[in-house]
Amino acid sequence: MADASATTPAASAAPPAGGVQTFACPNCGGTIGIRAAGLTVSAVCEHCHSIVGVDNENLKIISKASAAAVRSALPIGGRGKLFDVEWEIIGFMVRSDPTEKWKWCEYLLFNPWEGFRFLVEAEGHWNFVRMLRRNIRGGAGVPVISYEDEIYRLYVYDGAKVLYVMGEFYWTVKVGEKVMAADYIAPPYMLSMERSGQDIIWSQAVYVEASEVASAFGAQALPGQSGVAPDQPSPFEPRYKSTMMTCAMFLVALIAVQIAGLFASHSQTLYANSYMASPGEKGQTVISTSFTAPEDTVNLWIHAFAPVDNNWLELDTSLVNLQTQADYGPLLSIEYWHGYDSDGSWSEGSRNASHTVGDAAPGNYQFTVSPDAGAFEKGNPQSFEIEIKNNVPIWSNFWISLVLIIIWPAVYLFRRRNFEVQRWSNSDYSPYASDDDE
Amino acid sequence: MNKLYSLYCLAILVSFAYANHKGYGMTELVTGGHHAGPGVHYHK
Repeated sequence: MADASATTPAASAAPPAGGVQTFACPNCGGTIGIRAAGLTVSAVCEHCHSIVGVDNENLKIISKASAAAVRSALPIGGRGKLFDVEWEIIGFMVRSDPTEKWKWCEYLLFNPWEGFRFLVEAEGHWNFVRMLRRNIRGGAGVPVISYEDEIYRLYVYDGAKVLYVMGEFYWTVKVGEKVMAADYIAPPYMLSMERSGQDIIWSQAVYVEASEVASAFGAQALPGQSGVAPDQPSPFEPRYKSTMMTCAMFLVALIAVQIAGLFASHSQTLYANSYMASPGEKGQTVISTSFTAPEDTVNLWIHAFAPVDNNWLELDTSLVNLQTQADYGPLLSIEYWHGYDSDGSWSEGSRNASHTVGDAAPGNYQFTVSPDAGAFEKGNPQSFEIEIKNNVPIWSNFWISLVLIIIWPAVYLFRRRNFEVQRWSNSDYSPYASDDDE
Repeated sequence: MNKLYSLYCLAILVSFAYANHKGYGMTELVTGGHHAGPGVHYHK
């Protein structure tokens, strides 16, 4: 891109139709049409593809191009309204990096009142570009630059060359012409620097949806999109802050409810006892007692402990509400195993077992216990302890809620990050470079 | 404000508060809770 100096501030209106100046190509004699007469410096003969200097009456051939014709997605002479201005496409060029692996198309747009702009297409993604009239610090590989309160990050710093041209241009265009270029991104914007010798030109691009381009120029088919464009707006960005704020708000509420619950609940031990069961008491009722759950009772917690060592204990309990005859008694299984193997020491199981009875009614309860134990098989007794409390806090509720609240933004963050990783995948300056290497 | 996520969080918070009020585990809310009938033993 070169600096566009021909702009006249005036009301934005459509360029006059049919204002095409023609002359004969000095190479083949074919007709060359000029749409920006007086501003155009070079034009390409659509018949022989020679580039002709048209900045004065002495037409001269700049180069006899031999490149095969490239069909542009938008036609020269096509008109479309973008950003409330009607533009006419007067030039088209294909450019690439030095290896010609990465190619893009640039359309030169013209409006007699607004001057020149570019519409750039790469991998099916479109950018609307205007030249800046000021120099910006950076561009020689500086990683970050600031422009109009936006922080732009270096995306690419590489050579660029012209592969193909068609139409007319306000500078002397040459196939094979090379410049050094740097792109800095702050989606949906991109700042581009091009340096040719001592000349440095800055331009600012804004990402335009392909559908908007198609609609503006009435294009039936545009190149298919692939990947994420350097300055493509992230679909996850608009809701990022609100999602994080919502998450933080509900986490605070969750913690507040939990703390309030801890202060409000009055837990007390309703029954506690220890017992030494003999083998002869296997399956017999060894504990039979009653207790009263107070009016504020919402749950009952039955806990058992047994000092088993590579052994097991089962306590068949009965916990009957004497008013409703509902039996809440669980089977409490305790087993604890440990030892050594080739991987070192191991252990599994626990010497504790517990069960929480939710929505337990207040009132009188009858509690019985019948034991069975591995120790009985060897004729040994087995000791155990039983404790029953009411209104125990259920921490699993808190952790389950915490995970459920966090999982949504976690997935959101993961997808947002994946989008950014994809955006930076074609850059040598990716902040996710180490992740890509993994 | 992300409305869908807000509703989702609100549902979790209400379930959490209700489960705590009733003394349930939240998994029991999902499974319908353990309302044992007369003479019924569960977890056996």
